[in-house]
Amino acid sequence: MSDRIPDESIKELIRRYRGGNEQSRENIITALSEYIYNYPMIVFGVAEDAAGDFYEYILMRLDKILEGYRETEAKFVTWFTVVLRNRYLNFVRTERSRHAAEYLTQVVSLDCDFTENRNLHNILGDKRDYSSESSEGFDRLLDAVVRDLNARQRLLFHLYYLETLRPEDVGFISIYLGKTIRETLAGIRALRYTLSHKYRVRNRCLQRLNVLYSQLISVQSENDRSAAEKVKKKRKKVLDEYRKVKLNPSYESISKFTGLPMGTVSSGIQRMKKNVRHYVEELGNGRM
Amino acid sequence: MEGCRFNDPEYLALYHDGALDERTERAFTAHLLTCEVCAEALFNLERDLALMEMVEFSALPAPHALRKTVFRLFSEGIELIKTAAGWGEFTPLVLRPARGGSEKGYRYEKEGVRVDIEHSAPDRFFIEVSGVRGKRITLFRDKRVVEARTRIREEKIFFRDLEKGRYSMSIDGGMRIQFDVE
Repeated sequence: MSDRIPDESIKELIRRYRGGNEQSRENIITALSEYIYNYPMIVFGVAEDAAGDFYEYILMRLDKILEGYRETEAKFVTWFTVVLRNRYLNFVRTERSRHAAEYLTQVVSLDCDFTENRNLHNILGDKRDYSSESSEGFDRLLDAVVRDLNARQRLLFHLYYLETLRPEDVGFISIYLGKTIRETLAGIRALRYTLSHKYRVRNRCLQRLNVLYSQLISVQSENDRSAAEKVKKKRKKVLDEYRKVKLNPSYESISKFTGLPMGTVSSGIQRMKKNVRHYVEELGNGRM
Repeated sequence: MEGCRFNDPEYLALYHDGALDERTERAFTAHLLTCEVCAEALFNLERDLALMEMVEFSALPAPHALRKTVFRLFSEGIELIKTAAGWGEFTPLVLRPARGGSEKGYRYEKEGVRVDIEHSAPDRFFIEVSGVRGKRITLFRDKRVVEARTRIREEKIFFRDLEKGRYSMSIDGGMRIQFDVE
């Protein structure tokens, strides 16, 4: 883990804070601020405004959160990230009930246009909604896609379309490769790291989309149609850029993780894609 | 994260970081294959941590921003008035400490790079950066570039005649040092 929240330092600060050192509280906030603020933007792709609201929400509850921390050998950041996710989901629930209509209009839609962009990446590459508590539609799609694949092709499917991974798929990979869940997750993490640059590009696109969306709302409220058209064009351009970012690990990194020879991975992925494409074409011919 | 007795951030963190004892880890591994709640939480944790490490952070907007390190510049000196302990800590630079010399500036040291901040003229200070041969450094004040140096040939460089402001320095596009001088 990077030193974005250096483990020893934060633990020491918490110890001092509990020992009655008031200055430590401010130092703890300083240390955690950027992590808290960026968490919803990076993990859930929300706009800066919402991230600012979440930041305030957490700060108001920070004492309570820290009360629940017990120092262990696990890194503080690991514990804190679990807590942040739980808190974020609570925050969204609260916001949703308070501003239902507003909340709905702030969602940046990334749905692909099935008729125009009918390719595997657009249909599968970025459909998982990590902020959603229920992902039935996505699950159905994936279940249907992997149903006809043999075990090895299913393994390659999950690793190649990394962003479609679900917990049950991690279980499958773990059993197939004879690794523990933790080893499997570590391998998946290594695959993600090979895509660091793409994750960064994608996040930048998301943030630009959020800004453009706010601009669009603003010019529309002023009834400025020509400005709205311009913003829409820009937004489409960024959306296209976003969709071009393919989060598919290289054959080499998949081979390294699975222990399968490169040739087997390469031909397996080609075959898997062929099978999946066939299914996707069926979808396009009537079921979607 | 509800409906399971392992519904606990501490437990998940311990498992994720490999800090559970062997027996408990084995039991939890088996549990994960049958418990959707824990599997989902662990899977999300892996992804969240990876993303939070890989993707660059945006700075906190001004209303939320907290200053980590603040110096006060006097006509005759510079003083560190606030620092977040453990985060890019600046330590005092003392002239002839054995003879009870006083502080003349502050030093930050990380990954072989040394950044010294010292008072120069009334209401002015300078920054000396050592261990920077071959590196690229950009100094910003209030989000504007003060100076950018690439492929530095010397072992140390100076940024002189600096005035009060919010400073940040990026080294090789990665390591970042931020401080305010007021």
